[in-house]
Amino acid sequence: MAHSPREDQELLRQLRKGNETAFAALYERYQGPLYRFALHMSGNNATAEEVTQEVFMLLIGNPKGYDSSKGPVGNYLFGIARNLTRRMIQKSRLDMPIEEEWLDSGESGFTSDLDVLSELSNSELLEFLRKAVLALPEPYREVVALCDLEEMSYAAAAALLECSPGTVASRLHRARTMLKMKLSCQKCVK
Amino acid sequence: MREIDPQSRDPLEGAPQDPRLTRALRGLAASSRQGAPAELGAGLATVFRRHHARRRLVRRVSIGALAACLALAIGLMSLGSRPAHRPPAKADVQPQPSGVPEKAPEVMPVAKAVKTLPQPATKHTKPPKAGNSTVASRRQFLALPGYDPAVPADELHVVRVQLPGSALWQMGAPVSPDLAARKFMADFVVSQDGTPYAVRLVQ
Repeated sequence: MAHSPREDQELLRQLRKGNETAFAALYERYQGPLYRFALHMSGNNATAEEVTQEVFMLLIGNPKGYDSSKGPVGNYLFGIARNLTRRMIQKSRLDMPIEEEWLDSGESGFTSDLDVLSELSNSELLEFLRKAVLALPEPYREVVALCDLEEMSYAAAAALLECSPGTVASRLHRARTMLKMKLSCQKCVK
Repeated sequence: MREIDPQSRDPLEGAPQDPRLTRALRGLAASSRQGAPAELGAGLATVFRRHHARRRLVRRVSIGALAACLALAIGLMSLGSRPAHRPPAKADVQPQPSGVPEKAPEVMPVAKAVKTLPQPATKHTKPPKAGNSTVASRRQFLALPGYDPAVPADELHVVRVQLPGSALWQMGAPVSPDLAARKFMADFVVSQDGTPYAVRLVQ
């Protein structure tokens, strides 16, 4: 996402003309972030591949769909990926919102020290964390995927999610709290 | 007054992070697959190539079709601007010979006029007499393609000739092509240089 918007626009202009090199360059720039975003959102490699493919198919079929006045090319592509991922998750019913009672019950016995993380083995931790991220409600999962996993700035994430950076920050704060609680609960269960 | 907690962070700077959670999240990001498989990229490149090849083909075909349409339109326009023969069926219709006098001032065959008329049986006759031309006078002259309304009426002459139907038909007279072999008596209005301007079948 650290590419100059002008460069991206020039690549898109070339792509419209049928320049395959421009398409390859744009694909190389964005396939990774788009794929990872879809993967972290859906937890499914096949869905992530499908989303990535669909985004670029749309770009090939209708490159004029991009309006430069509405933001950079990257945001446009992420916007498409976001919508597609949402739709696919809804379709496959993979979206499992976090149970509120679990969250509420966790508040009382939750220790902010997160000792649990040091006690888990690395692979266990990653597995728990993956599940915990997937169990987050969609708006929280999005900010974790963008800011924590993709290491995007709040401003960039806010531009993608069409909200203010403050909203991103508060959602992220809430998401991290939920993750900690979820992980500590996993440890309790274990 | 609200106390300021030095440990608290501005929400815009970042939510309070546990370094272990951060590390774990980074580990999760690193452990995930980093991008789409290479086959996907290759497949998309093929789709891109095909899409644009088809687009180029469509564009070429449409340009060709447009050029053909333009050529056809130009051809039709040039055909339409050429003087065409009157169809024989319009024998009784008199479109515009308003400037052609019903009675020419002089009825005198002109040498040039004879030349311009078709060769077979150029038999010049005297102008129709009052009694003789009753049938002819009832019929009106029909303008021929060479008719020029700008020519003054006193420069026109009426010439009576006998010609085969084919010759008359070629000149635009209202004669059916079926009667090509038959001979007809016709009055021609000719200019001083012999150009036929109008015709009237007498017999």
